[in-house]
Amino acid sequence: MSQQPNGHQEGGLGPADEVLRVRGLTVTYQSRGRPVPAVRRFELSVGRGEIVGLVGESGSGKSTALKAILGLHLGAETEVKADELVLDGLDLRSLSTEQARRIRGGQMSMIFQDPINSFNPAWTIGSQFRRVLALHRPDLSRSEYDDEIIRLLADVGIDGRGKLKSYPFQFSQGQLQRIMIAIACASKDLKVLLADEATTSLDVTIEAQVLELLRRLRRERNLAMILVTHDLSVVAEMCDRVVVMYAGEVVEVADVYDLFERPQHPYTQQLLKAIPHFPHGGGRLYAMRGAVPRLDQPISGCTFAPRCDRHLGSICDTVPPELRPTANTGGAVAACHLIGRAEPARKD
Amino acid sequence: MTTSAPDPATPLVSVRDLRTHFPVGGGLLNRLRGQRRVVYAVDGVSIDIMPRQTLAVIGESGSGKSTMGRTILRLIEPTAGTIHFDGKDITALSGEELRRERRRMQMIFQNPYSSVNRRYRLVDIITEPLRVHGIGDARFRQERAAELLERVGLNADFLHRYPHEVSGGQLQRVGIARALATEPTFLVADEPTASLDVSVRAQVMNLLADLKAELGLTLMFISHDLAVVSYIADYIAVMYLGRIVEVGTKEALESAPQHPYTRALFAAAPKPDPRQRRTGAAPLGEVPSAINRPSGCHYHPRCPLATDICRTEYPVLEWKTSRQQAACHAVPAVTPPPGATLQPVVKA
Repeated sequence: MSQQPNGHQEGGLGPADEVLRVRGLTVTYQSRGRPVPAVRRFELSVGRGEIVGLVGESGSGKSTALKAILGLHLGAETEVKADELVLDGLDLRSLSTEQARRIRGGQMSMIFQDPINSFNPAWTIGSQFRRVLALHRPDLSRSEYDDEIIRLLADVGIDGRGKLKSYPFQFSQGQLQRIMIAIACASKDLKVLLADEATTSLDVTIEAQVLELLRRLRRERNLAMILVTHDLSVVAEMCDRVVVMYAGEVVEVADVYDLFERPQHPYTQQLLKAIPHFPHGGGRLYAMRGAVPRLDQPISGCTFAPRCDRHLGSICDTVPPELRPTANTGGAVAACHLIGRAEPARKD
Repeated sequence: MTTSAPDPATPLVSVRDLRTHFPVGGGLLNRLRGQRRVVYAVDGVSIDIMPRQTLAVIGESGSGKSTMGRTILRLIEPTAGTIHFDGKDITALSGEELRRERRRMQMIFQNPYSSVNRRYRLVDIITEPLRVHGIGDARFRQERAAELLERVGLNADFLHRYPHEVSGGQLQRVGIARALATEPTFLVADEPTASLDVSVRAQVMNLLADLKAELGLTLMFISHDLAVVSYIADYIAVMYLGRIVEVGTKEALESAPQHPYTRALFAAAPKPDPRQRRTGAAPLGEVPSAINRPSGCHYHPRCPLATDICRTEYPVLEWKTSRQQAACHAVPAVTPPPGATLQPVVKA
């Protein structure tokens, strides 16, 4: 893998010190005998120690893309294809089942939205933790497991002493989310942490604590993270770079400051306009018209065209726009026919 | 649409010392020992809601805000206290009498999918309250359903669809149409936008604001989302472990929150702006259990201002400014504003 000491790769999307690279990822589900292209032409690149936000609404394909990257089973009839899927020089497409199992939880882990349902309710926290250590910590002997678990729990702010025989229901949601993070980060080889709406079900005060924990993990272990979320506040707070998805495709990639201050794609612009603020400044909320399109029906042209406030005419309804470099720096791109036209796209 | 014009100077809903306690299991042995554990979900709430006003109730999970809303509608039996609706004591009503009052008070639920019968068509969902209350004949109800759908921004084509055939935002509109079917004057909306995407959330919030203005509705809006609360509320009540810790006009709370918990809650609200990232430590700890509540002020273990008295004595709700009350030993009280009753009642 080519690496440059600093700055971004020329012509590419990503950072120089790239640890994860995805190109041309496609995920197609089958629903009632019809193919549903849930993720199309997906691209992503993450640098070491970088936090990338993957933003989109329900049905945008963000969670599906994340699961496909981790190689999670998406259903027997689901087809996953990628031109490139590289984790720190390792081609993830060519792994055996056993190799893939060692990568998951070893070099790349995932934390989920709902901590309660992510644990087996009938097993103690200790036994669930020990299974992960058995798989990903060959440096430890069995007798060392419990001490290591206590240490890993302490790292996420939980005093695990005397609690390893406790069951998931005996912990609060916030505690379980921390325990899940501790388990996900148990491997010493961990390079990329994937988080799927990891703080969505938490109260704001607890969310703030979990986000701070994730920031600390990045700082201390130089972990790369992909945060899948629909919450733009979480993105603003946490991310270095943002990938915006709509209806299964990447529509914009930009540095977090550029994304919030100079969004290039009309969807990003309208999404930012639609967020209610606290305190509310008065007046009506901007409401995007319509809803996300169904993916089991063919879409011609730009998927966002029916809801777009800056619709250009027939080109938007007939020609799907490609990702093209925008006025923003750092390899920013957007998929919109407005990009590169004589009159540059402006923030509304 | 309202049956009688309510007097703007007297509360439409008046609650005094409302308590909703749930006994929890704990097994046969504990029962034999005479140990009964109780969840103090709502524990001594008094509040007035003036006609055409919106009271927003905020607080973390487990604060009792949903239980309070449901108890006021008599969907859950109160353990103690009184509920007056439009001057009438409804605390002990049952059977036909309660049903008659229920026509005028309705609820909008958080999750549109789980709050409808999936085997019903939308027309059946919307007309169900009319059937229950024996209002009109089949033809009248059908027409009313079409009218209501239009009122919430959906056309009559939707009448014969099933819940799975429409989007979450559309189904939430149907939930609102159903709540409006019996021409209520009082609506309790429990996190009505929490399960909706950003782009759809604004549509539903604008709809609620329009309905409130056009139909003269009185609203209790339960939410943890401060931004939507800020958009719709006239008053805000902050709940913590079953009690109101602060209540007042929206402007007063937003500009100068008095209770340390309100301040922590507001400070924890994430902002969709990368230049306003939260810095410093997040508020410590988690919400304690509503079974084993801390002594004295329930907030004292998390409170930066806690002193000895906070550990032993629960503070009473008292006026801290002319527009808000809070229950806190550390914040000095002011002389109640002239004409002040139990609550910060501000004439519309």
